[in-house]
Amino acid sequence: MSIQKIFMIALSCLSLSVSAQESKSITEKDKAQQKSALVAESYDYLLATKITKGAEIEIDSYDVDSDTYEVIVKKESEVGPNVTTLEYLQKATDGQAMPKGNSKKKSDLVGAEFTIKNDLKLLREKEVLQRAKKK
Amino acid sequence: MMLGVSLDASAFGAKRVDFGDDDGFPGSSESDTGLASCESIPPEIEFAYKEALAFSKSCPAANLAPGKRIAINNYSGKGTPSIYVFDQSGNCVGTVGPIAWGRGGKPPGSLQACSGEGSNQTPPGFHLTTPHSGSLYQNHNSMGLASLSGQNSYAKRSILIHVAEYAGRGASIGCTGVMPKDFPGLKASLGHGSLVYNYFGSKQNENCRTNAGFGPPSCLPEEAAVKAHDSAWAGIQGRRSIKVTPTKAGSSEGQGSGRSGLGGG
Repeated sequence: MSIQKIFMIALSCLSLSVSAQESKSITEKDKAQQKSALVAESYDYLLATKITKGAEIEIDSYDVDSDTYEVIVKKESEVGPNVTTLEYLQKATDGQAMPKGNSKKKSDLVGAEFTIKNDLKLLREKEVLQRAKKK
Repeated sequence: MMLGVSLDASAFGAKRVDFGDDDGFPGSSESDTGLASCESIPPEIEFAYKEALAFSKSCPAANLAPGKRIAINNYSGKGTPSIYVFDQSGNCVGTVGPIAWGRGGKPPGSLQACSGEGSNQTPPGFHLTTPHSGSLYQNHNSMGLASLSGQNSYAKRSILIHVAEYAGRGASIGCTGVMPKDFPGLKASLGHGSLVYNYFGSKQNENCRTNAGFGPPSCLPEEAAVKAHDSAWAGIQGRRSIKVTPTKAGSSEGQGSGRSGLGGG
């Protein structure tokens, strides 16, 4: 066997070894990232996902892109943002939250105030983004 | 023997604010469970800590009960907005970050402070952590921030430290937002009755209609702050009663000194 062949074999062995090491480290990195994401998600139960019944709310704005409303709790006016849908608003108000006026536009609800009779479900940020993308 | 951290040592990852004298405290402390360890303390955080400590000594309502902490919410614009938690001896016991702030600045989301109602900006200055139970956030996922310098943060605005999925951005409407995974450790470390300094550096906000919380701090605690103080001291032997009077609190000890006290100065 020539010296050149021996050199080539050694080189390919080295290359395989490096490649195996790289793939191993990538896998470990991926696993670590997945684990980190799972740990982070396991605390999601701490997120505020609803406004409890009995609260006085005001519809602050309507976003056409995501077809959502931002609401404020009157007694906690600078806690939020609290984003929800017309459907959830109607459930929370027993149907009182209805766009009125001649146009019956959804934006007509802006400025309306309600004392909610049921918990008002809120959207997570990623849900709002998904709704905006779909449009 | 000097146990404090010199300027040179600070560059290698100091974990303690140095007061320039031999006070016999250890050079660093272990991180509180659930908080990230303090890699190093930036100069602006050291400065803010010294201001906070001076305020806690000069404002009766900010007089901290044993074991209570001093948290510096770094909104100075230097480094990632984050919280540095110290014990009362200057040991950094942990950090949390990134954190969120109010979206109401100009342009929206910029790091600007304001105590004005409806400003949707984070109030600057000193606060005490207090229990909170509202329609949206409760005690398990929030702490109230009761103001100490006339900002009226809690009573008027319900300003909180609360769990938020938008940590790292100016996306709240005035509150400090922390990632869900960070909150339990922070809550355990601070509890109620700890001092929180929303530190925006020397930045003023000309668009803000009130100066509350800016400049030399005045001692004007709101009712919730007095309650938080009293609750923290309840049961402590030799409990002191506080006389709440509006006074100028800024002492020369913590103001304008920057890093001049470091390295034995």
